[in-house]
Amino acid sequence: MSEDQPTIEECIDNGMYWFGRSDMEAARAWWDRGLELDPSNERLARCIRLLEESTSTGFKGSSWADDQSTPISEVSPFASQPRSRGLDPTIPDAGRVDGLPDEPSLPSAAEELPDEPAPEVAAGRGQTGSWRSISWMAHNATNPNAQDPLDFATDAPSGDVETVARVDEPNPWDSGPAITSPLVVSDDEAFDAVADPTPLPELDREAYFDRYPETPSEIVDFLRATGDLEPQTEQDALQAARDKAHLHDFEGVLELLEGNESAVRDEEARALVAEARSQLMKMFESKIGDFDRSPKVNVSEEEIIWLNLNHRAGFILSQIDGSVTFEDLVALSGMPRLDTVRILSELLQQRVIE
Amino acid sequence: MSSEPIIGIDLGTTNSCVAVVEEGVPKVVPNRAGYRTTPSIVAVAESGRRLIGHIAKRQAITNPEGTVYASKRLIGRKWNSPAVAAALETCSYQLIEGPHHDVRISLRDTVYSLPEISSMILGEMKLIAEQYLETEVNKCVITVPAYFNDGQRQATKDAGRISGLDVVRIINEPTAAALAYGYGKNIERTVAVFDLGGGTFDISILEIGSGVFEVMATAGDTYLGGEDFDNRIIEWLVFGFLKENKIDLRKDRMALQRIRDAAEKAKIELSGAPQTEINLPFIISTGKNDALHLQKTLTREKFEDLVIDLSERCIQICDKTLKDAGIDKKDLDDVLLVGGQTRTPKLQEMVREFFGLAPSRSVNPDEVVALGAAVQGASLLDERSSVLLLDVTPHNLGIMIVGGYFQTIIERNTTVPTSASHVFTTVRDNQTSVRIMVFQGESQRAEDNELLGEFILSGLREAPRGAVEVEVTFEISADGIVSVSAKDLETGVQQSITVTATSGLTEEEIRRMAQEASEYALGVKEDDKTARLRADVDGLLRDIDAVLPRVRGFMSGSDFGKEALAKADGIIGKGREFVGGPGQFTEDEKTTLERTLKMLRGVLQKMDDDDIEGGPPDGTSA
Repeated sequence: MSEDQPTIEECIDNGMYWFGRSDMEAARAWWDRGLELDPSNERLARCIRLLEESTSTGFKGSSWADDQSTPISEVSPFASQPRSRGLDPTIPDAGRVDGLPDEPSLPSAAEELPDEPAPEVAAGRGQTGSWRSISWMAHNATNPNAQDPLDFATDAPSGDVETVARVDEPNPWDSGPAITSPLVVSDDEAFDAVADPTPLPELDREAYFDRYPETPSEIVDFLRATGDLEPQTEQDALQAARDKAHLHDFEGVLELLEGNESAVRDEEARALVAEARSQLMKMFESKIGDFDRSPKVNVSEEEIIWLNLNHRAGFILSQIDGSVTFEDLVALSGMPRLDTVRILSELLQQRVIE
Repeated sequence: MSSEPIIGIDLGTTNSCVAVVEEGVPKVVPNRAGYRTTPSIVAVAESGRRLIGHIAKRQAITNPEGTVYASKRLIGRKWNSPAVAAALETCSYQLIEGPHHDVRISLRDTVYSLPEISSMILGEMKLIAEQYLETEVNKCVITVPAYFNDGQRQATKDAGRISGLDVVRIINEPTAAALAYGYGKNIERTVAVFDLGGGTFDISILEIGSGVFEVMATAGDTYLGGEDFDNRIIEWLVFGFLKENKIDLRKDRMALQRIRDAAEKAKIELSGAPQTEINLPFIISTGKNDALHLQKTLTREKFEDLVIDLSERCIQICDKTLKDAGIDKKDLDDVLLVGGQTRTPKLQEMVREFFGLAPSRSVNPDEVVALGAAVQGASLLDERSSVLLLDVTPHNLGIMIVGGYFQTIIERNTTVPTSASHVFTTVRDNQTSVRIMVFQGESQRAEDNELLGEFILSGLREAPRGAVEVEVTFEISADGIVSVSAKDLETGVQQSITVTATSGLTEEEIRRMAQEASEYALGVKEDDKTARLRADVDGLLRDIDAVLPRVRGFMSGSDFGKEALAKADGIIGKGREFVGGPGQFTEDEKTTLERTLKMLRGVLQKMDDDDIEGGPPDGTSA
């Protein structure tokens, strides 16, 4: 992206990045910016149509995230802000420019990079140790031969992507070649140990958009393949968790490791989970402050229905009557303390309670 | 009147209430949240924190294994009793057998006796009264159902003792209700007390005369109460939602908790309004990040339709009780309503129709029993009081005789102390010993009554059946201790047994539990004190923060000012540490902080008077 004006390609790519991370507002902002540049761009129109369809069918915000981790979607700074942004996840707007969402790169690393965050890496160009890519591919879950894009990216022999991508039997990649995402980058120190030297396949954007997912089930598969990649192995999960912990994405650590039976048997995984829980607890508790205070509901009964809550947040909200303290709410919620304080801090942040 | 108050406590199955007589007027004491009754619910949260009352009720469904409700149904019961068997079927908390064949409750790995659980509720009542009266409270009158036996009454007394209360009198709930309605002063009446509480229904017929309250008949259903009425609304809501959305809300504990709370609220509202709105937003998530809302309108007519069979059951029990006791409805002078559920207009109408009398509604049915207990407590303090209730035996006392029948020696409602004798004969030829089995209860079959103890009188002379006479004597002391002796009238050979009511706890256990409860109460008081101190310090720090930045600039220009600021910073820092975490802070330090604020405000005032914007007095950095 140039310093003055993003290109149409950058707008599409950045929008795709945020779409992949379930931040529909950010995606829409980038695509709207693109429309300003080229109102007749068909790809942009398709993107926006997809976004509108997906939000109208209820797939919005962090719909895919575990209920426990995102009780209040869309506005959660931990769930719906990009995992890869790093820095202080408690400052959701840090780094945003001109009313647009962040570029999909790590601000901490951006200074070491060229002006533009290099939204793609062409096959054969290889990667340096300071770059890491995540393949963005839609794949057809209904096809038993569908190959996981992550496997593809990580397992492909160096310099020979074609042999992996093209198999004898028909598969999703035959009809729609994979594309790479705008890069998730980090500083050298953080990712040296995990840098993947595998060159990525060349991006065929047109083909990609031709195969863009249309139905909700395709969207689910698409997001699985992009924003919140589910690591395939225990080691993948652990590595991803280490990365997230390094970026202070403690919610991400829990999402990856909690409930992952094989991962939780690992001592390091358990330590990561404990640390993530502890850090999150501190963050949420500091936002709440004195637990002996009694919160009050800040919105009228008629307005409550227009909030974007899940039933757990709804339950907590229903218990707040001005007499019970935060500590009481933790005790009566029946949920683990971390879940309750997470909900309370989010309700406070949204000014639903005060 | 003595300066030490005696509070009256209605220790109910579902809700408890505390009252006290002040300047001759009985008053209910509201709890800290302003409620006049407190749910008789105790819970231990996941964190180990003990919850009592409303907060425990609000998490009863989300924490069912850690919440004890309706413990009154079990207090003083033996492990093998039918009541415990029934509870084992329905209780969500874990019941285990105690060391003395009593019942214990396991809550998050700690085992509690029933008196201990009740003592937690009584302790809360004590605390509520102490906060209101601003003095220590050590004595109380507690009410119990008229059908409670000695063991249950003793267990209630033990609960009071564990909570640090001297239970000066246990009185029957219908008696307390009658006292509150003003039947204590030389009135001769026969009244029916219709008591539909949260979990139980009792109908009692009382004969009142010259300050003596005799319970002529009492009956009821220990599993019929206001909660059953709530359940009907819950079912209506749940099945309606199931029909509309194909989602069973009972499977989600949070949803069910909210529905239960809403159902009770709706029921209460329908006592005064023809319809009510039930509005529960975000009741359940559908798994698509969308939550559904529950919105329904319930009319009084619909509610009455939902609960008509429950109301009819109450009337049927009244009918049977009157018939069993041989009492004609026409002999009744009044019907007193007790229990919140009796506010339901339809039920009142049915009571009026059945008894042919308009029920008395002059006293709040939720509070009437506690008020009566407070009246009794006050009368015990006031020697001039005309209201004097005497301790009476709650049940018939007697022995088993041939054929398994029960022979009453002392009739129930006999004033204690008392004694009575009866002569029996042997039933077999050459019978040399007799087994004396002591029971209490109203059944003609001994086995249906409660066995209090037994002993054998031996050494009788050999003689044909009926020739040997044995005199059995029952004595009840003023403390309620029952002594039974059997004497061979010819030889003078005598055997005896002493029966004391027991709650299933030993003296040592009671002492230990009382000590633990006392320490817990001290901790609660200390926590309250710390919370108040923390709030005060927090307020002071906010005030200081408002003035300090401006004053700092002014004062830091001089050595004296710097020194004063350093001292102020020291105490402010300590205050912040205390507010933000588990730090220590004393009342003296709070006083220092107050002085600091005063000093800073004084400086600010001086600055304003001299029109100084900030900075040192010499103006170098103003």
